[in-house]
Amino acid sequence: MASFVTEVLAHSGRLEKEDLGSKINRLSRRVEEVKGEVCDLINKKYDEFLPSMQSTEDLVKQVHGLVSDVDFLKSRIENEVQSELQVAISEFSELKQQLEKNTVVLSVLRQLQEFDGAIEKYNCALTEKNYIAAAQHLEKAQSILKVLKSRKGCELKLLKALGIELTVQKQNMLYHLGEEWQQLAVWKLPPSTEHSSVEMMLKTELHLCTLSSSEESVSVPLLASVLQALAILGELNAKLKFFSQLLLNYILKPLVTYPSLHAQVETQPQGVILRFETVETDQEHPPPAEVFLKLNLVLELIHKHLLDVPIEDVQRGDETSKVVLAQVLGDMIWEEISETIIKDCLVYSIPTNSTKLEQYEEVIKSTEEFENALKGMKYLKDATELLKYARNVNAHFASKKCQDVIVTARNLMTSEIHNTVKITPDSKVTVPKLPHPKGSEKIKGPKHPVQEPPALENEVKLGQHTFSLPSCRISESVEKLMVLAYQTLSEATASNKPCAIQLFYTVRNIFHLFYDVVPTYHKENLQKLPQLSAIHHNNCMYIAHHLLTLGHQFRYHLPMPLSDGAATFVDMVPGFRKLGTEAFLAQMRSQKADLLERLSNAKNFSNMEDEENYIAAHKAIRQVIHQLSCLGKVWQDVLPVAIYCKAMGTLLNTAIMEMISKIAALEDISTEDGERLYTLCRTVIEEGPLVFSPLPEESKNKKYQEEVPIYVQRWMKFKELIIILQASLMEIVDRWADGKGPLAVEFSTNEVKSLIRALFQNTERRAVALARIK
Amino acid sequence: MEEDILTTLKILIIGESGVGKSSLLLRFTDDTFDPELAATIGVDFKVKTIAVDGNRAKLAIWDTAGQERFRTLTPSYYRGAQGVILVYDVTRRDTFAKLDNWLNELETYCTRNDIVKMLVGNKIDKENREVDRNEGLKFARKHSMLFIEASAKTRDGVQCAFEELVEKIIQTPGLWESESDGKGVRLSSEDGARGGACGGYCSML
Repeated sequence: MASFVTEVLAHSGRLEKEDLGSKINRLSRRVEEVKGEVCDLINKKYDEFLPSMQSTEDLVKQVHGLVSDVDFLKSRIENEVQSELQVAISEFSELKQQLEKNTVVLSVLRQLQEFDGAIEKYNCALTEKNYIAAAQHLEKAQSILKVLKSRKGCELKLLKALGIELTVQKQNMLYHLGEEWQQLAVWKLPPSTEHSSVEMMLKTELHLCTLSSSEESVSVPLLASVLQALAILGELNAKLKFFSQLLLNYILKPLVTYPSLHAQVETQPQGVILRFETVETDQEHPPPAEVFLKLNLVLELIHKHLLDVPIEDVQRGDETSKVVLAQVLGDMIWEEISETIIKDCLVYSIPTNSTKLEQYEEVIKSTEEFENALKGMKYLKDATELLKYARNVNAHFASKKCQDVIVTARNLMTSEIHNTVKITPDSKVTVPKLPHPKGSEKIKGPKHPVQEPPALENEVKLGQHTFSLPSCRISESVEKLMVLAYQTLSEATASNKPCAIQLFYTVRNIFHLFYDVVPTYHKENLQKLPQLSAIHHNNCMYIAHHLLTLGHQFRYHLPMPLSDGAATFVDMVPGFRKLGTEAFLAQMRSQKADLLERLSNAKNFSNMEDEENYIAAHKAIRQVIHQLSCLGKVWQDVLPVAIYCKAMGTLLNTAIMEMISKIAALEDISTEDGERLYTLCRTVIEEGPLVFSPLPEESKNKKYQEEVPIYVQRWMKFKELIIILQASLMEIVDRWADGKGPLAVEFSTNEVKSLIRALFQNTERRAVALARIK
Repeated sequence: MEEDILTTLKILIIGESGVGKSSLLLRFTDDTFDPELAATIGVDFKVKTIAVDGNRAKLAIWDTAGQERFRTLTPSYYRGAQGVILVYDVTRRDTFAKLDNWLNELETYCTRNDIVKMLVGNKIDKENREVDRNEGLKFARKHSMLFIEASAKTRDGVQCAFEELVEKIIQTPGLWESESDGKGVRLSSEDGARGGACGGYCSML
């Protein structure tokens, strides 16, 4: 082993020896190399780099010096040049302002010159009496002045002076124009201010000068040019206003109001004179056509001489100053004059009857012509009040008609009730034939073929008059009122829609009026006089009866909302029935009270033996019969028979009930008493039925007198009472018949027993009889 | 005389105007005849006692007006009636034709269902007869009525008509007895003696 290691070690030592030698060789070579390199590098650094660096640093120093120089220069330039620029700008603007000022002054001067020129021209024109031109120049001057004044900061003094001058000139011109105007249009007015009478009106005159402006032979009349000039100056309205007022009050309105007044025109060399003359007429209100003619004459005259400035003349001036004089005047008077025409003339021309409505077409036509003439003269532009009014004739007609109808109706309502006419089921209000409503024909035609079911008819037929009002008497005035209602409604069917509706509601108003007026107006008489309350009752029933069908009769002939079901009067029916019933019932109550009052004098029918009592009772009975027969007379032929019998029956019943209760209450009736009570009751039984005389023919009343038991509820009871008064005990018991006889139907057990005890003395027989009443 | 009366019966005579209702009644009650008798106004009333099969009955006879105008009064007379005599005129067919109406009215107004009905064809003394006896009989059978033809003028059948009607009423149980029962409180002793009418007892209602 050791050999190996020594071997190895020997090896390694040898190896290392060899290796070190090479290594040192290599290392020394390397050192030589590095020595060269370092030497080279040092050379390079100190010989080449350092001198270049020195020079570069010098350059940097130089650059810094230059930069500071530049900065210095720059700041110097900024400071010095900018201040000079500012000065230059302000210089320029000053120059500009000056230039502007110069321009303004120049224009002002030019305007001043124009103003001067205008004033000069104006003066010139004024002296030549060329008013239109003068006015135009003045106007121009004024507008220039206005422009001048609108500038600020100008020479105020001068402007003020100019303004004063202008005003002076304007006033001067106005004065001149006023003078001319006054000379050209001269009024002669009646002395007194009120112009009520035709005579006064005759003194009114209007002179119009028709001379042309003398120097120039212009075709414009002086008057017209004056007006035109005024118009340009804006003073026309004031002047014309005054003129129009005079024209209205002294000429136009009188012409409308007084039919006898006519305008007359007199032509003279210097002008025309308008004055009035009278022509006798008996018309209260002038017909519209005539009025239109007269007004037309006057307005034409004024137009011709005053307002008619030829068109080319107008156009020669400034376009804006073009004024149509007629229109200005027209604007001033039209409203008032149209109102006057409507109020004083057209209103009276509205017809009262729909048949005359067609003739009114002429009035409409003449109205249209009149308005067209006014438009032709340029008085009007598009106003059509008159025509509108005239065209609206239907509405006016309706209003007038309704008014008339209501007045007539009211007069009828306040007239006497007691003038009567007899109404029978056959009597009819004569309704004008209505045309078949348009639709009905079509419906009938093809829809229902000829085959009608034949056997549906009932064998038993209602009477012809089943639904008629029973015969009775009503006031003549009410019949007339009904005719009026029918007439008005048929008039409505022939009118246009608004008119028809108005007329329909007028008819309703008639009935409302009746409902309120009649009971109030006739209140006292209705309470006092039984006949009147009966007639009033019939009147109300008559009206109610007609109201039932009135709407249906006219419905399909009336315009839409009405024909759709609104045309009805049925709603008023209960009210009218109640009105009639109440009045009559009030009368019945008062009559009943009267009857009871009379019977109260009969001393309760006790002690009839006493002559005095008997006479009093007898008298009371006579009075009752008398009162009833009086009522029977005044209601005869007036009330419907059924109502008559019912009313009389009720009253007679009241009387006998009172008698029965008084007699049945008696405790003792002697034979003598019984006799006399019997006589009294006999009177009622015999004469009571006689008061039933509903018909004037006495022979026909027997039937109703026989039927008294039907109308008088307690009649049978009264009859039984009479039988008892005269009967024997046996007879009374027989009529009682164990509660199966008539006595038992009418009287109670106690009543009969009480009567028996009063009539008969207390005997064995009476006791037996009393026992049988149970 | 009153004591032996069995009961009081309410008899109604109805029929068209002029068939002889009042004449039948007068013949029966007074044994008289008036050919010119005036029309009845409202109603007429007679009392007559009649003996049937040994029973005495008091008849309270209501003679109504046939005329249409008095019809409104009649309904109240139907109340409590036990027998009805329905009269027609054999010489006037229209009066026979109207019988239905009368039956209808009777039905409407009478207060009890078992009312005894008697159909009387009057005026058989006349020659111009229009309604045959058999027709009357047939109608009576159909409506379960008694039937007789009569003449107030010659007395034929009058008494018989009333008697038969009363007989039938008395034979009808409950028709007249209950009538007396329903009369209310009876206090007097006499009433009890009236032959079984109330069966000898008092009813308290």
